Amino acid sequence: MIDVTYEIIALYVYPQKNNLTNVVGKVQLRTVFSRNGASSEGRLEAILDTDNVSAESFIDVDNLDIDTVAGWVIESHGGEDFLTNLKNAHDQTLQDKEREIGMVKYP
Amino acid sequence: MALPVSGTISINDLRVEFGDSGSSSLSEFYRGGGLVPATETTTTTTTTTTTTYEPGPGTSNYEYSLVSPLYGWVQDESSPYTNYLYWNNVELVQFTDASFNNTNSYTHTDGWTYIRNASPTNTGIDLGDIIVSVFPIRRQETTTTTTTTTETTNINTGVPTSGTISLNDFYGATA
Repeated sequence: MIDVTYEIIALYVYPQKNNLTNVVGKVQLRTVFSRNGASSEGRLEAILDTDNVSAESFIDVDNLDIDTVAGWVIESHGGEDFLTNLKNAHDQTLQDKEREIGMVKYP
Repeated sequence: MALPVSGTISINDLRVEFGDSGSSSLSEFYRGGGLVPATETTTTTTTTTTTTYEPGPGTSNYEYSLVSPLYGWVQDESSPYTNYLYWNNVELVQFTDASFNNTNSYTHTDGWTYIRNASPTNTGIDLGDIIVSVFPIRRQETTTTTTTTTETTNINTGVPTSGTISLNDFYGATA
């Protein structure tokens, strides 16, 4: 099983939109796919749909957690199927790196 | 909740089921007459996901060209290990990396994910100010389509639309 972790590289906000402050409109994420001690990195960018953000669903940018932001990005690119395809794309790299574990340069 | 399919049904049961008020008579409960619906509409939403691979088919083919149109994942071999992604002569993005050959996919805001091959086709290309390696590149896109289907079916077919009507005609009838 491939584990996925995310790290925010950058958030871009609308300072004011729909009477809300600092509405996140674009996200850049660093994504790490890990398995059996090997890892492979990807980079994700997404422009989010902010037209229907309401006061009820709005989360202040300072209170956002990484899982929420990553969820928005994944959803904007097609949801779980997108993530599955992305994991598959990194599978070969992980296989190669798993085979390299334990090797040392000789001599 | 539908009326029972057997046993005793009262006119008060009809009033509750079909939302009638005041005094009621059976003639108010003809099918399609306003209180008792003749049809029911159901809406079904289906989500279909499609993945497109280019140059395809599948995930094993890559594009690579150092002449126009440019295709490739170019990376500076020295710090700051800047990546330059080219697809069909367009430079999609530049970004720096922690180390050489560190980032293996890049998902663009246009929805496409660009993936580099594990091994470069060319290394040590001297561009004057930087020396780069070039990796073959492919891309994939996941598209989700939502289809809504509306279907109308006949219901309460045991209830007459006119003429003689009895409480037993309402077995299983529903609002």
